[in-house]
Amino acid sequence: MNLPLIINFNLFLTETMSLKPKKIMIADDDPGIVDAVEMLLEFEGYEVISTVDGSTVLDMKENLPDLLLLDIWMSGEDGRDICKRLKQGTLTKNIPVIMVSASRDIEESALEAGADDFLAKPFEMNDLLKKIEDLTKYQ
Amino acid sequence: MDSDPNLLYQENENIFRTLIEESPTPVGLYIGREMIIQLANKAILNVWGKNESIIGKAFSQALPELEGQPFFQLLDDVYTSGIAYEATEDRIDLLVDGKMQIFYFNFIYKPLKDKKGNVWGVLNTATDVTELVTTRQQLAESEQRIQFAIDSAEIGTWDIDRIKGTIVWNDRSCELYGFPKGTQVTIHNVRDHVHPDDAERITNSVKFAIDPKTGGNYDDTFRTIDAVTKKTRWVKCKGKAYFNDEGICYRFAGTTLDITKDVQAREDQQKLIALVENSADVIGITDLTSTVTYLNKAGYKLFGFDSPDQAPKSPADYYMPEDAKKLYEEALPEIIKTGRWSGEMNYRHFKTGEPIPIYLNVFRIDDPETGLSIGRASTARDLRPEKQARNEQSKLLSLIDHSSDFISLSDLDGNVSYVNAAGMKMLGITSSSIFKHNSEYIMPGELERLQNEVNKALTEKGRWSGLINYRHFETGEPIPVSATSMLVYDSATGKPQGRASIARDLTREIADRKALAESEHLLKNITKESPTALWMSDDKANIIYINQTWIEWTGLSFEESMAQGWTMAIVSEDRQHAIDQFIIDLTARKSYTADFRIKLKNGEIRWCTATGNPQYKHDGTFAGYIGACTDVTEKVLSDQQIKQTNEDLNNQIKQFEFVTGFMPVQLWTATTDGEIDFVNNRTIEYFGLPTEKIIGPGWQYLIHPEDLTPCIEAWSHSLKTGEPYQFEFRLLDKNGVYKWHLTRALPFYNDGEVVKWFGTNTDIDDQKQLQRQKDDFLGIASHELKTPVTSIKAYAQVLGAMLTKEGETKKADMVLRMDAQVNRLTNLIGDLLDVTKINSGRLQFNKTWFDFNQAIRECIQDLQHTTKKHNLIEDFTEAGQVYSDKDRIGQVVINLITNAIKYSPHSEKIIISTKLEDKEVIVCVQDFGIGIPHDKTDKVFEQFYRVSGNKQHTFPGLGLGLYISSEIIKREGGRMWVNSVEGKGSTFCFALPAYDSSI
Repeated sequence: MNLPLIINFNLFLTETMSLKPKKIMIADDDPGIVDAVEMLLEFEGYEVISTVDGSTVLDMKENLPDLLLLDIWMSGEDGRDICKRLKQGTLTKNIPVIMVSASRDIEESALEAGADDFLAKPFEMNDLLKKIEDLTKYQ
Repeated sequence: MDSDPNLLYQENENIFRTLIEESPTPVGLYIGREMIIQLANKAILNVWGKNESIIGKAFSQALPELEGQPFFQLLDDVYTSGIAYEATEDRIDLLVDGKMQIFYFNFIYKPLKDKKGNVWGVLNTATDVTELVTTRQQLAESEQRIQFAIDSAEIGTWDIDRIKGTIVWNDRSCELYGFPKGTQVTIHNVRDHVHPDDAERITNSVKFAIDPKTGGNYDDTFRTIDAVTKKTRWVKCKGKAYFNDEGICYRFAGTTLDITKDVQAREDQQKLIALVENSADVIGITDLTSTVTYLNKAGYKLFGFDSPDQAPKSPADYYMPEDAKKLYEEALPEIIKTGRWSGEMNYRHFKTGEPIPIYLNVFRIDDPETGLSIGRASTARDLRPEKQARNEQSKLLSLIDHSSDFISLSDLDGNVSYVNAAGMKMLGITSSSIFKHNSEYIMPGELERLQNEVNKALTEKGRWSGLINYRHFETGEPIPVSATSMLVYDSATGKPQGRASIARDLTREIADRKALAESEHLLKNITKESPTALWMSDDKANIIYINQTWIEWTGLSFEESMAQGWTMAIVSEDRQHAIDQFIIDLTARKSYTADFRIKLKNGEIRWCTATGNPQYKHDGTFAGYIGACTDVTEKVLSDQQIKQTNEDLNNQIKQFEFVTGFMPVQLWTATTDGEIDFVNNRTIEYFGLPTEKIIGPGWQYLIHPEDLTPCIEAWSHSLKTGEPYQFEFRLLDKNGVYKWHLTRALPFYNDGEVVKWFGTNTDIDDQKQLQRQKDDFLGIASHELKTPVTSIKAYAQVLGAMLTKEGETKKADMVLRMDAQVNRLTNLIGDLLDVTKINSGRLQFNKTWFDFNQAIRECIQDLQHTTKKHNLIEDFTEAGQVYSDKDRIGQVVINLITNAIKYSPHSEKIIISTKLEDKEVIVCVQDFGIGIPHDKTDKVFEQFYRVSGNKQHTFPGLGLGLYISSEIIKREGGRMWVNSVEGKGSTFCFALPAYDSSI
């Protein structure tokens, strides 16, 4: 396939696909962050579902999100482990995961856990939006 | 007388017959071939000794004794040939008077012929000339005899006719007078060849002889010189002068006799007598009565007689008693039997009575004519010198034969006649091959030397010594020898009669000498390398060897150091002790040790320790000492110093112990091996253990297992490098609780070397805990702070987006500024977090390749937005790519620029420059602000440091920025520094390693 063709095809897909809003899931144990991000994303036109309990992510069987924002430290649970498990599950392994953490140093281990991207808190809104956009382009 | 002629005739015939019959001349007539005797007169019958009975017989019958004599044949020849035979003085042997006698006849056998001419008979006439012949014969014989006698006697005869002046002499005379044979002489030149000394005398004696008054006798003895042979002869002349009536000598005749031999004989006799008289041998003569009649001079001397009277008459007295017995029992019978006896006897000295060994020859003297004994003669040779000589000789021969050297004898020409046993062995000669020329005894190459050098020296000086190569007879190999050749002289004549050679085989010597030289050389080489001086002494404590090292130290030569010379190198106060000690030890055969100072060649004084041990030869006899001399100055000095230092140290330790005793801190010392050798009371109290359990390696058990390995690593590193030791670990206290301690130790030097480590253990457990708590708190705090900050930021941004969407630009802008503050807050929180990470060592970097200038530019752009006042100026040069944590580097740059802005409120520009230099990228941020005081330029990078002074509170900031920045740069392998002038501005720089992007 030649490149121009792929790009054209992508654009075509984006156009056709942009009608349905993307479902973003956010898992963070801090309600303040959850609320703010929800508002932010909805403003941008995303559908948002959220949870403060990380384990519920793993129980999802239907209505799967198009992207997951996963906090690493969540009241006793390590987001990396959850991420690993998600990536193993047949239903969930294709869901792009962005790991979020207050510590920038964790980026490497987050990506090792299977995360598709990483974001340090506090983050720029535009950075978040860009990452989400990049990862949900092809859905 | 008137007779008839016939009668007459007949009478005459009878007369004829009678005539013939009576004729004294023998006549015989034989008829016919048979020679019948017809007629034989009385005379012939007489001659034949026959009678008339033979008449009518045949000649041969009548005279049978003529058988074998020629007469029968003669007669027959005459008869047959008809030729007469005449004989003169023919010999005829006839049987007369019963025996054969010799007769001489002149006879004729005349053939009688008849008229026809045929022979019918032979007439034999003869004349007895026997007497005539015999007389003549006798006369001739007599003359012959005389002549023979004269000739045998070699008598010369001479007969001088003085009147005529002629001489008649025989050849002998001629010869004796010195003339060549046959010379005719006169009385004038007859004395030409007389010996000049005698000439005058003879002339006188001749004159005397011819004087008639003297009687005419001449008897003289004189010498003549032979004209031809020039031989001198002694001649005796005897003659008689004959005088006539007038008294004139008319004839002088006589004989000459060569008495040269007589004269010589007399002279010889004289010589002989002199010889006998003067002989070294004793010669004595006894007569038939056994009386000693003569003893020569030597005899008198030997026996010790002062005068001839003392010589005893009896031979027995001359001998020792047993020998006298021997003389009579053994010698004399032998002499009587064989005429001589010889053997060893012992004379007896007349005075002392001691025996004198002699070799005696006794022989009988016989009268040469009668053959009867007329006496005895004895010669005796004094054997004493001979015995001695023989002794000497046998000793000598024994010596020669047993000598281990080669000894040979040869004649003057060099033909070898004797080689001793050693010589034969040396050259591999068998007894048969000795007799070669001496040139065959040497190597062919040496022949020239033999002739030019050896023989020449022998001829000129009688001896030659030198080194030469003999030749082994069997193998032909050269044998180097040291040889001496000399001429051997005849003891009597003093003339050289032969040569003798003595040679010593040098092979062994040469080999030994070579081996010795090599061994000495080896010894010298070995000992030369020794850093200590080595010496050897004999058993009398005299030094016999020192090595090169000693020579170099002391400046004494090898020779100077020998015997006692070596002591000259010893400092005078120490000298006697060194010598005495050596003598004492040597006498006791003990190991020798002595300490003394020696003076070196350069004048320096050094302490030495001399050691030595007794040495014994193979057979166990004491041979001397072998030893060494070591420079122990360093040791002596250092020992002294050590002693001093030890004292000082001990003092200090005591003080130290006092101090450490009451210190509230744990104090310890460790050896350079890393083992603790001292802990103070506080330490003991802390651990609640006895000292033994802590010191040594025991302390390791008191460290928390997790901390032990890195502790040992740090400790080992310090021990090895001498760098100060610092470590934090947990120590087990007496309650079994681990407490954090900071251990620090510093090395203590002595003479540039670490001799001890001094350390402290400070209880930092509380601080550690606090620190941990603090860090933990900060960590948690910053984490906690970040959460609401995240929310605020999100809200702010959404709000801003909403307002913007609604067109509320002003409001949106306010929200944006709010967002900026939130960012500030975020940064502050981030710094706090970073500090805790740095302090707990948890700072991490995510390294990537990025374009350096690009990264810096981004920072500048971001910051430019925050300040309107300051102009951020880029001064970039190509910096390439760096491999580092982009965010962190950005953090540093932002920190520097932020500071620059903060601390230059009154200036307008800040210059940011980058460059690539010496494999580093260097970034400098230059401001033109308040600057930093010179003494504070290092402190700026410390934690919590803030600008001090009265402006302190006016400047915002936690004081963490530079600390974090410098730690970041440090951990990225770079460095950070500042150049500043107070009031003018500062330039903060950092450098990072630039990696070749191709790696």
